[in-house]
Amino acid sequence: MAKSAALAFGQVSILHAIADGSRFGFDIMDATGFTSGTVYPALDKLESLGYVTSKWEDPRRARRDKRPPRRYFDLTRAGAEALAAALARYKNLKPVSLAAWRIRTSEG
Amino acid sequence: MSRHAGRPFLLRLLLGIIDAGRWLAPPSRRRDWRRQWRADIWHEWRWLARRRQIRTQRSQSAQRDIGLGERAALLRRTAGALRHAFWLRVHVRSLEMMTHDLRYGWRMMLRKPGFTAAAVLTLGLGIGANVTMFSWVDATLRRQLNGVADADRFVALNNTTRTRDDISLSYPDFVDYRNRRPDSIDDLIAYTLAPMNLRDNAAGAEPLRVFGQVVSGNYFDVLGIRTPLGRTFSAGEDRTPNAHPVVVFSHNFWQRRFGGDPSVVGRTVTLNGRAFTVIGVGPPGFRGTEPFLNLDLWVPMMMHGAVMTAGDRLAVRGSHWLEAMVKLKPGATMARAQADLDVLARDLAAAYPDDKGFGVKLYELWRAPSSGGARVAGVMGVQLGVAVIVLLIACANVANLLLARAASRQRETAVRLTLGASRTRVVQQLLTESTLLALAGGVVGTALAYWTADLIQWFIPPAPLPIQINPTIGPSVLTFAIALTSLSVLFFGLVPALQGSSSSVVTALKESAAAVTASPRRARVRKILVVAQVALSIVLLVSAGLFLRSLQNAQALDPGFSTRNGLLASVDLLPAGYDTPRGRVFFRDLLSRVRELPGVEAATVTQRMPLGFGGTSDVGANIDGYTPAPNEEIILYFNRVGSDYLKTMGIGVVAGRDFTDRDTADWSDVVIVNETVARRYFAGRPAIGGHIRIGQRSVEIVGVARDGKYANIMESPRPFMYLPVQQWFRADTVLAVKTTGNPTAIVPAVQQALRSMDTNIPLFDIRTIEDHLAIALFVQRMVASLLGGFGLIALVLATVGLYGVIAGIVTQRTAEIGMRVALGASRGAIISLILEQGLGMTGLGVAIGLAGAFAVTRLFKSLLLGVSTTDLVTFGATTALLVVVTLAATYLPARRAASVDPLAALRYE
Repeated sequence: MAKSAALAFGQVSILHAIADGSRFGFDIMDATGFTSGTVYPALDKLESLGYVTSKWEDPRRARRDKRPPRRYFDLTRAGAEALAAALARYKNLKPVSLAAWRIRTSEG
Repeated sequence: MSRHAGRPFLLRLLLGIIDAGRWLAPPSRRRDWRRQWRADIWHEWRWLARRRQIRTQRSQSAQRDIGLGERAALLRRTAGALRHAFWLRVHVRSLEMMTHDLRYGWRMMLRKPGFTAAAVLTLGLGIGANVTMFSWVDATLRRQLNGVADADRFVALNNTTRTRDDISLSYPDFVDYRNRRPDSIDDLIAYTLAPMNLRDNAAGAEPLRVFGQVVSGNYFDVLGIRTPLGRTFSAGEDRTPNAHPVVVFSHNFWQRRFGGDPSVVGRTVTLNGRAFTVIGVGPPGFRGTEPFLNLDLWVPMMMHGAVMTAGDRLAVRGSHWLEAMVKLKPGATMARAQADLDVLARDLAAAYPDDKGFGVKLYELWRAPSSGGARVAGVMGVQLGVAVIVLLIACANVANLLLARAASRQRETAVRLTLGASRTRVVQQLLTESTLLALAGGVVGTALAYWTADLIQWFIPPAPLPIQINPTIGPSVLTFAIALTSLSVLFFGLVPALQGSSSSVVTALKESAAAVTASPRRARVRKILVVAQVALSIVLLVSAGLFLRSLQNAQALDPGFSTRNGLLASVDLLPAGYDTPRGRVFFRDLLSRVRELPGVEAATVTQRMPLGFGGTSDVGANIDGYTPAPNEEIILYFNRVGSDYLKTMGIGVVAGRDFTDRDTADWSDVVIVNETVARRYFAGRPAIGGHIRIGQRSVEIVGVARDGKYANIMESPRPFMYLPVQQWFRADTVLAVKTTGNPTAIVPAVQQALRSMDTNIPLFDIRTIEDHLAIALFVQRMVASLLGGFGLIALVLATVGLYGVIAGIVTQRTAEIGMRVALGASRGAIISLILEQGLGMTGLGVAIGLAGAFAVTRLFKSLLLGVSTTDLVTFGATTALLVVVTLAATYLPARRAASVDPLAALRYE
């Protein structure tokens, strides 16, 4: 499978969010700023590519807590590798001066 | 339940959206989708509520509920769930296929290596045949302008009259079209093929026969050809006739003859006796604009007088000698350009008497008259059609294999269906496996085509031209291969997938495997497939058989001349600048020198060899003493030949004599006729001494020769006469030598003899008469071998298919056979029981196939020689062959059936 293909920025962000501890759809939305219509399909897609696995919470525990069991996501080994490779690629983008375009890259 | 009661309105609304929205999600994901979204929304709500609670406590603010902005965000995110559902509906197939089906299909392929190999090889054969044929179509019809930028914008331009639409252009017309070209046309180029003699002055070697083009000055610019070495023609070299003798070599020629020596640019070579300066070498890959030909060099139009023979034609509007190509403006259509050119043609016709009655017509390059028109396309179409039949047979075969396997996987499928898998899902799974098989088959087929594409070289006619067709497996061929592979999945995968997933298979769980696999419907489909295979094979085999018979007949035919120990070589005096008187002397001297060589029995010259390319010439004549019937026109076919022609060619002299060295221009005009002329026009009186009037000249018959074949091997006898070349001079001739031993052994001596007379004249297109005769049988041999090859593949595939089905039947009926044996059926009875099954299918297939063949073979009636399209021997032999082969394929499983141990078989139940 074409796992070596470069991931889109959105996919990288989502992998990054998961690696950073976001496990549920809404957390990932908060972490990345993407809409739900983007994040959920992307999660399914990443799962089909083998970068992400999803599990359902143990229903007994959820029932004990009187709440519905949630589907949570985790990185696979391939996902972690792909994320590392993507981050290494982005690192190559050195800061450049955009002053000529009157764009400020710093905060503010 | 009590939990739900206390929920706020918004949360209930959101969960309701999810409940309603679940119908948007695909069935296989519906439950999970709803669960996931409900849980996530619920948790989000609770988190928001708790955060609000904490903040409220901390700030003591009055607002206790979730804020408006947060509510809106939550609503928006819930709406995104619907997008997710939609997305799943579109992508679930690929998601699931990507992961599960592919992995599963791959495992299935590995688990049954025998089955996989058989299916992949079969498909590979079928796909390979088609990819090969397509690569030929691609090479002959699509890639005519190799190395040219924007090749798809070029179309051919021809003059038309009321009756013809394939006429060349004159130079003045070309210039007018070019100067007044409309907006739809980027530019025009003109060119013509010119065989020349080249001498490399530096090397002092043998003169070479080369093939070049005389081209308009803008030729390279318009085609977008840059020379990596040197330059192309300048504007000045396209202006003054006969002033700038410059030449551009093709890359291939430069490599072949000059070893890629860069110092060749600036050198002088002699072309047809005139010194030309080499100014550049073309880029690799560019071979010129003559279809199928690999050209050696290009000379500017203004120099045509030096390398061509018909005198200065640049100013003659009535002289149509140039091929032309139009480069359309980007985005302009051919129809637009045609309409624009029509207007221009009418203007020219009004302005110049020579252009009166002439129109123009644009052609796509693949069907331009100069590339053989649609004829090549027709041949290619037939070949592709045959290949498609082979692929259909292959698909039928694999479908059969899949059906057989589906039977053995019945239980697995049934379990899946019972456990809730939808039928679509099962079909999807089965189709995925078929796709994997097809992909593997496509890879094998394409790999095969890498090897077989070059077989086209067998089918290139042995013409005295630098024909070069190089099929390559390029992007378009690969695209075709991929498309074909996907299409074949539908042909071989769909029926087994639908059958294998039908709800009736659920009964499989309740019944024994043997009982279910004998499901009458599936068995019927398999039988239909075998019948179809047999029928298609019959069509191919009968066609192949007819062509083989025809080829046999053709080979057995007497061409009318001896083919043993004959050597042929072409000589052309025109490029060397000989006029008629000098040419006559030259040929006389050449013949006397060659005749003195050791090992030479006889020698002559002839304008053209019978049964070669280019047909025959004919002329209207009158015959003294013969009164033609009203409306009868006497047409005599003729050839110009030298002394000793009949002797050299081994043509029998029925009466009179052969030509001798005394039949010269200063002597009385003489002619030799064939038997048909003598019979038809001199009935009851001697032909010898009779006179034939040709134009103003009256010639006396001095000999009658045996009839022969002249234009093609299949013709019926036609009136033919031989005219002495010394009296009807032609400078381009074929030297024919009859030798006592191996004809090729005397080639050096003949070359030496020629060189001793004139070092500027090359001997080219050297071949034996036997080689030459191969041309006559070319079409026959090509079609016979192609159809024969495909027919054999078809036969093998059909046999394998039949074997598989019969073997399957035997397995299914093992219990029944065991019962029969237990009840006392003899071995022979069991064997004939199974044989009957096989013969039934074969018989039906043969019947359908023969009817199909009967219909198809009519189409190539004109290509067959001495064989009727309903030839009993061919039809009979093919049928017999098929019956024998299929009997063998049936007998093996039948014998296995007969040796069934009844006890074991019954226990098996």
